[in-house]
Amino acid sequence: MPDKPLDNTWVGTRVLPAARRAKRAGRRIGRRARSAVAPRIGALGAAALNAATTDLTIPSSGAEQVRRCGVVVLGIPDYPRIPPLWREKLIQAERHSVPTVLMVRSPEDIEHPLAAVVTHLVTTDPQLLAAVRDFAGAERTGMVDSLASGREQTSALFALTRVHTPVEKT
Amino acid sequence: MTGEQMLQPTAVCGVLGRMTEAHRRRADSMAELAEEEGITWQPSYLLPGLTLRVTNTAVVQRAERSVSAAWNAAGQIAPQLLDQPWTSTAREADACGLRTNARGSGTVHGSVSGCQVLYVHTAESAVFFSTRLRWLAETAEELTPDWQAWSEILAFGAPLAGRTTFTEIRRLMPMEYAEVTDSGAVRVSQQHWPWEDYTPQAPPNLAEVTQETIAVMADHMRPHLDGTRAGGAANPMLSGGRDSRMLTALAARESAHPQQLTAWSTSSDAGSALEELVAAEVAETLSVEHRIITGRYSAFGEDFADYAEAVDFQASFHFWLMPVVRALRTSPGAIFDGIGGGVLLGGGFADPADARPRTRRDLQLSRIQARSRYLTEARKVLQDSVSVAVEERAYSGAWPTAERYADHPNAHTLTSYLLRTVPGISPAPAKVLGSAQPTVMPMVTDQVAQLALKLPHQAKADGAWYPRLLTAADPALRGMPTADDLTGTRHHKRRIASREGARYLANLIRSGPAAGLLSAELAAADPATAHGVVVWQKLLNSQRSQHLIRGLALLTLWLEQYGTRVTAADPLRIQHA
Repeated sequence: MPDKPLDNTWVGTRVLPAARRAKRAGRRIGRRARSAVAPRIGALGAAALNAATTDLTIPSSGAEQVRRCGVVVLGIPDYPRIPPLWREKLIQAERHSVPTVLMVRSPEDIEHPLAAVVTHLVTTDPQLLAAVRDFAGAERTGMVDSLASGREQTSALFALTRVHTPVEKT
Repeated sequence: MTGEQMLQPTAVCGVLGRMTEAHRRRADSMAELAEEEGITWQPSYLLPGLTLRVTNTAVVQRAERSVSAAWNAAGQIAPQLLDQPWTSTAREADACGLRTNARGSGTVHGSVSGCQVLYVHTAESAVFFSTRLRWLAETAEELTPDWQAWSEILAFGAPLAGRTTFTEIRRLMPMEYAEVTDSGAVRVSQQHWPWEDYTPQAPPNLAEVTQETIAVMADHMRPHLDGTRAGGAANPMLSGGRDSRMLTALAARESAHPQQLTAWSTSSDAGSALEELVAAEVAETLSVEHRIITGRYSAFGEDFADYAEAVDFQASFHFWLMPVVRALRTSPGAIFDGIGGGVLLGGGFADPADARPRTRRDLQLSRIQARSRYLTEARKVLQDSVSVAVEERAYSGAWPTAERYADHPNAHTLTSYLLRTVPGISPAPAKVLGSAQPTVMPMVTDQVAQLALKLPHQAKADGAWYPRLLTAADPALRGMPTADDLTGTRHHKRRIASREGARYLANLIRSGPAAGLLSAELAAADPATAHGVVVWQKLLNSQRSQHLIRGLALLTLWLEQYGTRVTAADPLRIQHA
């Protein structure tokens, strides 16, 4: 059973959390600036977006490619497990705080282990939205219009993943 | 796979002593409550001085004038251990049990690790016992809230020193026992705890100790992996850490049918998916089938309430466990859990680096504060007067344990173990996982504790021993990073800090009897509003304030369950020491 001690030192309780917050904020600001100038979406599997994506499964794709992405989009693979290469890319994304978004196309997709490890889930099917929201929560769930332009889809993905605790729209 | 081969989750209840008709009726009522929860008893033992009901994981030996029994969350206890004194059975099998003579005198005892959960309620000339607090509480005539225990739940995460949420009922700590004497007197006492005798020896042959430790754990796991039960299936719990991968490697090594193993991972809701991703990598390395189970955000409230109920509202560290537990209920085979690894093998929970020049009292205080650091955020969650009272009560409750081991060479380890592992962590494997399938805890056996506690601290500090242990378990694990090694920032939305989680907890607490304990900020933050829910979300996104909010939610659920049954149920009484 996981049981980790709390860090009780002054460095552990004050300095490191502040440093982590600053690092996270720095990455967010950097990614936002980069995304405004040259938005970059990484892809694992069939993202099926009109937006341009960078295939992260090609052999030359390293950790730096993942780090430069504003978001990584994933499609469900044929394989019932997370493919080893994808797992490697997901670990890189985790290390660099890059949001990961699963494209959900059928109700069964949320049973795939990928759904358990991504930061967000989106669907293009309004019929699926309630089921996805039920699984992932309102803040992690989004709709992408399959007929929208690449720019609009990119904007929707970045808007979904940009804020950790957004204020609810009423 | 036959019905006889399947082990049920462990459950035991009964009464020992000078029996009255009322005693017998209460014991029957306890058994009926258990049956309503799905427990299937073996044939009952209904004797003049004993009523005993057990599931098939327990071993029972009946002679002409005596009964002996032993049980633990794992089952598979060798019957011949019942021929030894109970202290030996408790030590060798990490088992609870009982020994009775004619007419009801005898002993009900706890295990050597204290991680096996057994509650006792002493009555006139008898002691009622149960592996589930609810069965004792629902059948008791009188119940009083233990506000000391509730202060400890808020501060440490669980009641200390054997306390429960009721003053009348206690949980047996390591080597504790309840005895009914020939004269009918009843007392609760403790035999010598052998772990106090295990002190660092120098210089050790670390390679030999490592091999021996791995061999002892493998020996302990082997009977659950020999293929005679559940068709050879078994279920190691696998996180991104070291203890669970060590046990998964040993399970794969010792199993007669390694293809029947399934390693299980879930999200510990820590804001990162690295635990699951690294676990998947380990499972692939060990060629073990792997499943990741996480909870639905819409079901957060149901999962939280179910977990609270499963641990009798006394701990909430592992509130995220329920989805995987539900899946395990339909996956026969022993569960392997690495409880105790961090504190015994990993050198975690150590004194601060500057401990040496500190005074004895400061050192004791630092050991208590280290386990109750959540209180540094208490004023954000609790009223000022409540946070002061909770801190005072909690420290006074922990002080006897800190004092007892103040000068012990393993002071920090034993103090942490008794303030955290036994009360707060063990219910998760013993009661929650243990409610799904028999659950084996190899790292808190007496032999492993002995080997670990005899090692000098520097051999274990900051996980220094793990590389050797992991390599000895399986060389393929050499050098594999853990989730903690890779974690940078935690950017995932925690389920508990989502709108759904925050709204459940906020509505639960604000509309319940514990609302009067809330800080002004939380009392004013209406979760129905967009900004109000964000106030709750931000506090739930921080470990310390989240811990305190979870404690208040437990208290609310407990009062919903027992508020009309206990005397003096007003939670503001927590302020009056």
